[in-house]
Amino acid sequence: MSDLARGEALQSQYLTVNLAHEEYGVDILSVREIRGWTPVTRIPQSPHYVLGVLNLRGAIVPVIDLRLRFGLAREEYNATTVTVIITVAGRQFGIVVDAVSDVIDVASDALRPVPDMGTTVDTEYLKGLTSIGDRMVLLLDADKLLQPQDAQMLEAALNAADDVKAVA
Amino acid sequence: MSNISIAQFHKVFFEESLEGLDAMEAALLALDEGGDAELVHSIFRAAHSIKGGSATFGFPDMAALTHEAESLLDQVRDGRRAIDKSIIELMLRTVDCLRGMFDRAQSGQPLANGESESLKQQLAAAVGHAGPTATKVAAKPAAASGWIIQFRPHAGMLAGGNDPLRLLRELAALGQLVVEAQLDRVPTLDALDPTECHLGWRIELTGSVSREAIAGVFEWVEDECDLSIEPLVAAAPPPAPAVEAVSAPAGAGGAAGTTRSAAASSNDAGSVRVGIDKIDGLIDLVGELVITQAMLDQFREEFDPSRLAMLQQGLAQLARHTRTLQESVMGIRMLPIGSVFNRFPRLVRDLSQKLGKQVKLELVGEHTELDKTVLEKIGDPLVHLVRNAIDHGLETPEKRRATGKGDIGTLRLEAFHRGGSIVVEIVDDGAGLNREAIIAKALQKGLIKSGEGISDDEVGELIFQPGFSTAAVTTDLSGRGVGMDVVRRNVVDLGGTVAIKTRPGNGTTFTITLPLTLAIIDGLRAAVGDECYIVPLVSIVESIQLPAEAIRSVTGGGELFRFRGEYRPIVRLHQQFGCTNARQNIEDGLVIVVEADGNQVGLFVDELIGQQQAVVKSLEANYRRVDGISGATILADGSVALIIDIAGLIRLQSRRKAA
Repeated sequence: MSDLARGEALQSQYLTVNLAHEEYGVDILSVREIRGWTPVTRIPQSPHYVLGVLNLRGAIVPVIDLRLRFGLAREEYNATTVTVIITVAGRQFGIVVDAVSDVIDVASDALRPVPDMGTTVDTEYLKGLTSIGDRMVLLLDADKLLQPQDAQMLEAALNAADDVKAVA
Repeated sequence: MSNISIAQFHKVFFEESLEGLDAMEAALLALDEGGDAELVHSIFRAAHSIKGGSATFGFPDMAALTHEAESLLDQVRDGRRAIDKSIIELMLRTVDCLRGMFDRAQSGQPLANGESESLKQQLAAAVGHAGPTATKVAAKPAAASGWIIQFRPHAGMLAGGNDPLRLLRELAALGQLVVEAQLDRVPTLDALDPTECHLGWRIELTGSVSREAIAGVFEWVEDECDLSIEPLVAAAPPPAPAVEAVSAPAGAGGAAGTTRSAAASSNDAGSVRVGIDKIDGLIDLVGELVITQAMLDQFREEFDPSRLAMLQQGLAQLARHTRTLQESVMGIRMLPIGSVFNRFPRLVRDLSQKLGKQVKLELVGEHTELDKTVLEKIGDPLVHLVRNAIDHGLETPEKRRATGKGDIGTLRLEAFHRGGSIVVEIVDDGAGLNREAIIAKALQKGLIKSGEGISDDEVGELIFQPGFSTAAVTTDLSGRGVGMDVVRRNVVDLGGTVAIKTRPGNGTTFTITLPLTLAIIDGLRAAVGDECYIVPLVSIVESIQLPAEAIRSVTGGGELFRFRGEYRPIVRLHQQFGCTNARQNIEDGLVIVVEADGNQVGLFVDELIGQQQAVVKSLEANYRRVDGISGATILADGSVALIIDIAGLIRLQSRRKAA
């Protein structure tokens, strides 16, 4: 019993998803649900990686394509393509990934920092990596996936303020 | 523990008392214009409730001040003192002071301050001025007046759950009682039915109590007893044998009970109080809905095509009920604008006195209902506009006479429905906007290049600029730097618009147009390429099909079309929103003429799909604001459609052009 409790304190669970032949982990506590890909409504004047919004039981939830977010080529969506709905800081959004694969336990001491790889994937959105057997899993920092929009939001707000001046 | 439980009621007490103060203020202002005794009674009742409540809830300073006010009112009520301007002024200041005390009580600060103390003394002095006799009378109200009440319950009264003792206790709360039991109808012991009431009472009630208050005590047993209430004429006759003197406990609670209804009836802002008729209507509707559901449920068991007509009928019924239910539920949020208008008589009175102007305020359409959210936020802009109208718009009596107008200026606030909107107009018959001063100021600020050829309405638009104030001297009333731009922004935030019409010498009209509700809109679904957008019905003027040759191209890529004698720009929605597979030729699609902020444009879309109600959902909750989009809604098939913000779209287009 006490062993178990100690074990839980040190471990966290991650949902792993497949994206361009890599495996990524999302903190399972922020995952709300996993649903098959359904078409979304496009939002004008949005970054290209924001596919649009979908109706999640009455709430309007934006959906981003993780491939596009990471600057990868877009794949055709198929039967395994899923939308993972994530809640971060009270906001919900969906990420579209190639497939979901597993739930893994990661002990905190098994978490390795991400080396600066200069690779295709921006390391800004990763909070670490770990290995399960001979597989490497990149752990996503879900907080940061929507965050770079703050800059855009600020820009939009400034534009709007200019507007008010121009119109008034 | 007891402290906690009392504090639970503070909120209700504050709410009720503030309503009481509003009622007092309204009655005082009505009295100022000549009113009747009933007004004095209502002021007295409100003051009395506040006094009782504040004593009960532990605000002795408040109770002391209201006590003095009540004493003064008491003299007025008994006709021992004529009401005059000075008393009204004093009472109005007391109302203000009490409001301040309530504010401080809510934030837990000490209540009394110099103002309240000085007011208390002034009130006490005013009470004293009534003359020695009057003071003596006021000091000993017991001798002044009273009532003889003959109360003989019918035998069956106890069976109705009414306890005569309770009634006596309530009477005791009103004043000093001398009660004489009448035993003449008590039967002999063997004939006595203990479940019947055989006693009667003759009650002498001394104290300044109104007849209504006494009748109120017996309100519930009127039909079950013989009751007579007569004024006490001579000095009280010596009590007969078998007298039981009931001591009158200082019953603030009991007395407040009789006055509460009066205080609560007048005003219903602050929290949503839903009329019982509205609730009953909802219950009826839900009942209908259940019946319809049961009817449709039959088809689940067995269905054959012969009953198709019935199914269709049932579905039509369902649609109708759902729509009515929705309207009724939205109606719960609707409150009359009167609760906002109510603050203006006082404001206008104070302002006009201060500025030496004579103003007649007309309030029209107080019963027009507005969404609660809108109502809460429209107050400040309206106050600002009214202040401006009195400060800058209306002239002094001398000036008015010089221009051939009557001495008294008129300020009209009017609320009414127009289409899907509520319109609030603030109309004054003052001097109108000072065209020269505004143009000079605009030139100085570099807002316009020359004063030539600017229409009166365009001049009006100028005053909505940030930081624009033409008052030569900034008075302490308006011109504190919070300008018309804030008014416009507040209204625009509510999804409304402000327009101004002014004619020099003839006054100014501000027209505020507000949406009925923020939660549900009527819209048309328009298809653009692979997508579909909702265009709010209120902004649609007309939809037309244009031949290609009706389009005039202007340098810089703009397109214009002629509509009702004017050239209007065309907004190609697919270009603005980047839609794919949209129709490119004007003659293949449809142009919806839409209007926002007084601008008309033609919105080019592929086709109209149909009309529908849209429940507005926020995009910002999970995403962010999008220019040209006011929100999203969920269609019947569960997919999401975006709602177009016409004003935003027009801004977007002009910005694109500028860029």
